[in-house]
Amino acid sequence: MIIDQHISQRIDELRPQFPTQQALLLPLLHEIQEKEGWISKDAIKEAASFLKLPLARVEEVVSFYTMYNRKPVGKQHVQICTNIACFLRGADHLLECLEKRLGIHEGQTTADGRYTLTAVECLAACGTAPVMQVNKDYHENLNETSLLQLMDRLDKELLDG
Amino acid sequence: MAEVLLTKHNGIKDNHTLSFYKAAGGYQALEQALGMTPDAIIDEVKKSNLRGRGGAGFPTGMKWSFMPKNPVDAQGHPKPKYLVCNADEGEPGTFKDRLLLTQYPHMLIEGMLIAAHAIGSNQGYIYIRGEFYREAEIVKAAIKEARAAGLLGKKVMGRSWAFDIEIYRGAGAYICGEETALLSSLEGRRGEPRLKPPFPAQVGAFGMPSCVNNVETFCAVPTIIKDGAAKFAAIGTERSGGTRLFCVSGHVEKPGVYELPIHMNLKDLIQHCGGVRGGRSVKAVIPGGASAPMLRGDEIDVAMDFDSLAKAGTMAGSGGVIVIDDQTCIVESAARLLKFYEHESCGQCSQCREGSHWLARMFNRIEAGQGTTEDLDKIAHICGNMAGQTICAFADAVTGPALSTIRKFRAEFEEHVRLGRCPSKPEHYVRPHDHHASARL
Amino acid sequence: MSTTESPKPKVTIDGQVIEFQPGDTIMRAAERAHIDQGIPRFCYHPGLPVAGTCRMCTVEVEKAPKLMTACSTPAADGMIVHTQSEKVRKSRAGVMEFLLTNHPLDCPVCDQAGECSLQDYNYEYGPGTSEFREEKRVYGDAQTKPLSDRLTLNMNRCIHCERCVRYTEDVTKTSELLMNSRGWRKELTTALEEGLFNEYQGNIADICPVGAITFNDFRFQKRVWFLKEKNAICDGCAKGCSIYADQEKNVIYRYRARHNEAVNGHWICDEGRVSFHTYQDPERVVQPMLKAQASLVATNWETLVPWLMQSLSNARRVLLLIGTDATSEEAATLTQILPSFTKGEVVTRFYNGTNGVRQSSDDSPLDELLRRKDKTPNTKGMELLGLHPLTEQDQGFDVAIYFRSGRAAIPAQKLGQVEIAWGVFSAREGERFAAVLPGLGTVEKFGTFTQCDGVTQSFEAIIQPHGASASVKKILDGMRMKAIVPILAAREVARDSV
Repeated sequence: MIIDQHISQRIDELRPQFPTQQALLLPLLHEIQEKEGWISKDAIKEAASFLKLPLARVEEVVSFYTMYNRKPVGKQHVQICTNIACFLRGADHLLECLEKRLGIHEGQTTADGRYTLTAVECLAACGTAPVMQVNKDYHENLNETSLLQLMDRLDKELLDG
Repeated sequence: MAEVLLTKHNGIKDNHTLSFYKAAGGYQALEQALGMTPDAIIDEVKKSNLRGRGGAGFPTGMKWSFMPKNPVDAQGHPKPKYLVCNADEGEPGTFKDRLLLTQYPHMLIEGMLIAAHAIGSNQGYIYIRGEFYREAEIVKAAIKEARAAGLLGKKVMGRSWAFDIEIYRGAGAYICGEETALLSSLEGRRGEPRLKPPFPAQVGAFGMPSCVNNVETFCAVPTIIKDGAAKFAAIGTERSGGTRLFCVSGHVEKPGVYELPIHMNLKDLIQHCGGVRGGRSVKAVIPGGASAPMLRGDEIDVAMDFDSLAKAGTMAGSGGVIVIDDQTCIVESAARLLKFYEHESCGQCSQCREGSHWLARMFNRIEAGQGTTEDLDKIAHICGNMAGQTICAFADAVTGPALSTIRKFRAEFEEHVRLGRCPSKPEHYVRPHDHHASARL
Repeated sequence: MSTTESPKPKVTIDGQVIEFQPGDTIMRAAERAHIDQGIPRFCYHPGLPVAGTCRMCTVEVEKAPKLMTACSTPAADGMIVHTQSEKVRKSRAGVMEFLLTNHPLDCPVCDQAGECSLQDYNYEYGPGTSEFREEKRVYGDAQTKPLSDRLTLNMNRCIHCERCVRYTEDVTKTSELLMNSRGWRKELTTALEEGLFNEYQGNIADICPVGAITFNDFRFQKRVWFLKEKNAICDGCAKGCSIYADQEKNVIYRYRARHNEAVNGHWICDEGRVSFHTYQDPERVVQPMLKAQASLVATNWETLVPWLMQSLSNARRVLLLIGTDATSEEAATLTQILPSFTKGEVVTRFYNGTNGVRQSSDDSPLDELLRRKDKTPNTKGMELLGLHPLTEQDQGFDVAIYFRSGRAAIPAQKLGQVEIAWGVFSAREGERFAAVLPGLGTVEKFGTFTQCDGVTQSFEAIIQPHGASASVKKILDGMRMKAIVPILAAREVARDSV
């Protein structure tokens, strides 16, 4: 069971505020991803039956929104913005640093499953560009030095479990 | 400098809490508004000349007045009306919502309460972009505080009026900032914009009359009610009142959010942000978020209000000011912007789905030195077939950077064509592998 | 009484003033007046909810600042619409150019060629040239993949109109299809790639405006420009859906749905869609057959007609069992004329036997769309003629004639000493009978059916009879002639059967 008691309780709490079941789909998918790290086929099936929606309505939503991962991602999901404001302040170089350090290209996951590196479009924090999001947290005003320090810290976090 | 209305307490510890907000006079406007009729509130907002801060600049009071007074369904039962806050900030260059959400959540809640009273709604939603985990948590905590204090819930401030707010997190789709796409998304669907008519005031969220406003728009409401429309209107121009949160990014010394009179001069604004980094000069400015056509460095002596920028051939949009210095390749900047649009087009309308992709590929190719002079003319042709032809304004937005860069910096594009490479890169520069370059899916 | 009615609202389309119903869009109003040919469309389909996304149907509305989509813009009284203005044509050329950028332009090998909206509109509205110099979008490694066991998908040809997605969501309500991803990457798939499981998949190929989705039964069978379309009625069940039968050189290649609001709307089921194969089955008996020793042997009408007359004239009790797939005309004629060939008693009954249906009251819908339990087309028609269904009491006949068109069942038990098959039978079924008189299938004759909701529909023959199959009228005429002038009659029948 992917949708456990915790998740179904969270969704039940939202129910009174929404006039349709379908409205609960995005929140449900967020909960599933929070637990699983990604949205599997089984998750799509469970979400569909939980909200009594056709599979297609769930799958098309999962695939429309970029935040829903359709395959497993690393423990640290590193998402670096490369669009205009971050680009103007050196994001491309930071992406290269990350590729070199992690030994993977953008869009890939390290073989040990620790990191996934994704280039994303605008995180809406252009005033503190370049910006990177790792899991839930934003890291701003990055340069090569602070980026590498951050990566050291993330490595350590993984080691410490 | 002129008066700051919304962001007086930037960076002060605990500025997001209810006690801080109340101590600074928060929720007095709500008290006042609850003593006013809905019409009187709408009238006051109209008089303030507040225009929507999301991008389109539509007069807020007028938008509220479009909401039906006592809508009923086919069986004669009253229909619910929904109030929706658009916090799906995502237009490149725009980052003001984040400041307001994290430091002034109660101002937003108060603004929504006043708006809800004005339009007669009992349920509000804040649609917040999915990446804003932390921001959503802060707003959620503020909602909880407001409920506990009787500001939200079954009896708002002890009156016989119920209003509550629920947070709804997006999931990574810029298009959901378009209000009808946002409503589709709020219903748990793909964020695809809807045909208008019907307009959201008639058929909005869940098929019910709905009103959607931007975070900053709501945040401006308490000060309008508390200090009066006249004061707010006096700050701006004749047709556009108040201050504006300008988001300045790119090559300025001090990027950030600056609350300034809405008709602030762009040149002064850049100076206000410490000028261009390293003493360089301005090559181009995007004055209102990525969709706004670029201004050349010699065109920036212009007021930033909606009408002045429209007259200058661009738009005030979302208030995102991106400054580009003289060392930057404009073709590469444009290619980057178009990659964004290619990635974010929902793909419903033919012109936008295929056109945003086509343009992104062309700009990419020209930047790589594989463009031709015909390509440069073709771009204008493509844009001409996109603008004004689709369900929502996204296709028009795509043409903003595409057309303006090619018109205003044509020589630089031609230089790429002539040299067969980007002139601002070393001669034997090897482009990093681009995973998005292939059209094989 | 009509003088008190307020005048109907009117809209002017290309100078023509037409009335419309309140709530009509510009497209709907134009359709009602049959002047919608000037409004091209990809995503719009009258049987589907409006999407308004392909932007091909834009028209110029006077006083409107932008072009409007005819499919979604409500008509308003006094509105003046231009469907062919320069602005409109420029916009359509733009849409065409965009849609063609990533289209493979493989018309020579595409089965849709000749009935492809993209191809047709390109002649009419296309820009003429394409200056798309980028790499074309290619989905996956294989050009085609099965969407189900009935449909084939070529995603590279798809123009993303999403008619198919809306069809499965709103018409069949089975929701198997979806668009995966977004923007230029959007890709049609079935949910979790589990395929389609509805019984109305052929319509998807019909409504796909391009060669992206094709129906396997017809795929590569015939270039469509060779086909002649004829109006027909599907005889695959009691619904009696209106269809087009597309044929060439006396061969039917496919059925397609024909719009008939009173019966089937815009759709038909898959079973009905392929039901024409019954009539082209190589196993179908198309020569007169007579039992000699233990098995049926081919004979001719000159032999069979006298044999039939002999059998009838000797009988004391004759059962005329008419299948509920016979036309009302056939049933009436047989009921009237056949008794004149015997001095015995003739008991006339109708027989259905499909899915346990005896009479129309046993029939019921199999789903919310069209399919019926009764797999024959004219049970209601038999009842309207005053005929009664076969009962268990109907036994002990000397001669039992089983007349049917290929849809009704044959009773399992033997009802007569001599059993005669008349109509459409396969060789396997024939073995039971003393003789087979090859008759006409529904596609080979004119006639009338009354469908399950009581709508009576007439139809014409689509193709010439197969082999020596002959109409009821010709066989009965032959029998009458034979009774009067035996030799002449035999010649007549022989000539007919050629």
